[in-house]
Formats: sequence, C-alpha cells, structure tokens
Amino acid sequence: MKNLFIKGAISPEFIAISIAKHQSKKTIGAHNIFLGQVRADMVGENTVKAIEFSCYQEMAEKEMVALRETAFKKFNLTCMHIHHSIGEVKVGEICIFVFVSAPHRKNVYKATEYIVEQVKTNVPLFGKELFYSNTHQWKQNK
Amino acid sequence: MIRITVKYYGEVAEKAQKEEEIINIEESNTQAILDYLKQTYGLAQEVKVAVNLELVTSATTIESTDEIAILSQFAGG
Repeated sequence: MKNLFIKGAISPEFIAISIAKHQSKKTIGAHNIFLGQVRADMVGENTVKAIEFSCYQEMAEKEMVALRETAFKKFNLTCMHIHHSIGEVKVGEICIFVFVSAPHRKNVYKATEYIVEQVKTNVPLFGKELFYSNTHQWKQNK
Repeated sequence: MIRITVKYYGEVAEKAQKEEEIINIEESNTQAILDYLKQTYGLAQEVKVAVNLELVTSATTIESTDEIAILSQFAGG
C-alpha cells in the first residue's frame, strides 16, 4: 500500500490533494473520511503534548493489506486509502486518515467505522504519550 | 533447549531496554518466552506475542527460524 505510514503529522494539504485525485473517478458518488487528531488528554497532573508512534512494520503492513482486501469485499468500495503517522505528532495534528469511496453513501459510513476499529484492534502500532513535564506513558486503545 | 531471536516493540522494548535479543529457552514454545520475560524484565501477561507476523493467544510451538515479536498494547488511530 502506497504511503501507508507517514513520518510525522498528516497535513491538511496531503488530505486535500488526496480528495482532488478522485475527481477523475466517475463511478464514485460518495466519499467518507475519518481523521484522528491527537488530543491533549490530562493524566493526573500531566497533559499530553504529543504522541510518538512506532510500529512493527512487517506485521502492520500485512494487517493493513488484509484489512484492505476484507473491506473492499465487505462494503463494495471503489477506493480506499489508509494513512497513519509514525514518529511524533503534536496535539491538534492529524495522525490517521481513512478515506473510502463508493458509488453510494450507505456503505462508506459503515466501511469507515469498520476500518478505524480494525486498525485500532489489529494493527501493531504503539503510541508513547509525551507530557509537557517531559515524562511519558504508553497509550492504550480503549 | 532452543536458541531464538526475539524482537521487542513499544513499551516492551522500553522495559527490556533493547529492540532485539537472542535468548535460550528450555521449552520450544511461546509460554517459555513469556516466562523468560516475566523473570528477566518483570513483564506480565499483558504483552502480545506474534509468531511469523501472526498473533498467538495460547502456548504455541516455535522453531529457531521463526520470527518472534513481543508487542505492547496496540495504540493506533
């Protein structure tokens, strides 16, 4: 999968260009996008300033390819893109971008939710929550 | 006795203070690796074990050529 992992934050420009690239695809009638943003969580007296993401790359790529195949079949999608940040992403910046397209709207809502949940559950990505106090804790998906 | 290379990711790598090591274990299964991690680094059962890029949830037989990775909780998204 092309550009699956992006170093640092996913920029609004990258997202805009990705949308623009689909204007030539005439069978698409609906897009849906999920953007995950780094939140300034409070943990006790500490506040998150950034998350440093890392991954087990070979397994993450394998899981993403499998997820892509499953999602295409399950939701009859025309297009699907997933990008996740690796490295440090500051509060307020985007760390995951899921973009699905199909002829009609109903499937793209379901597909987006399914894909995001599967990424959280099955893809070996790790996140170190960095605090302003220069300490950290490891993020756990709920 | 089996000699294997184990890769560590996320919090596991932080606790072990390394990303990879070669270990000797008595039994050729993943439970023996978990026992080693508990004894050596105090890592409890919350870690995940991947054998050849697949997660395993129960004691699984391994060979010295298998790719073994110990992973902390997933945190993507």
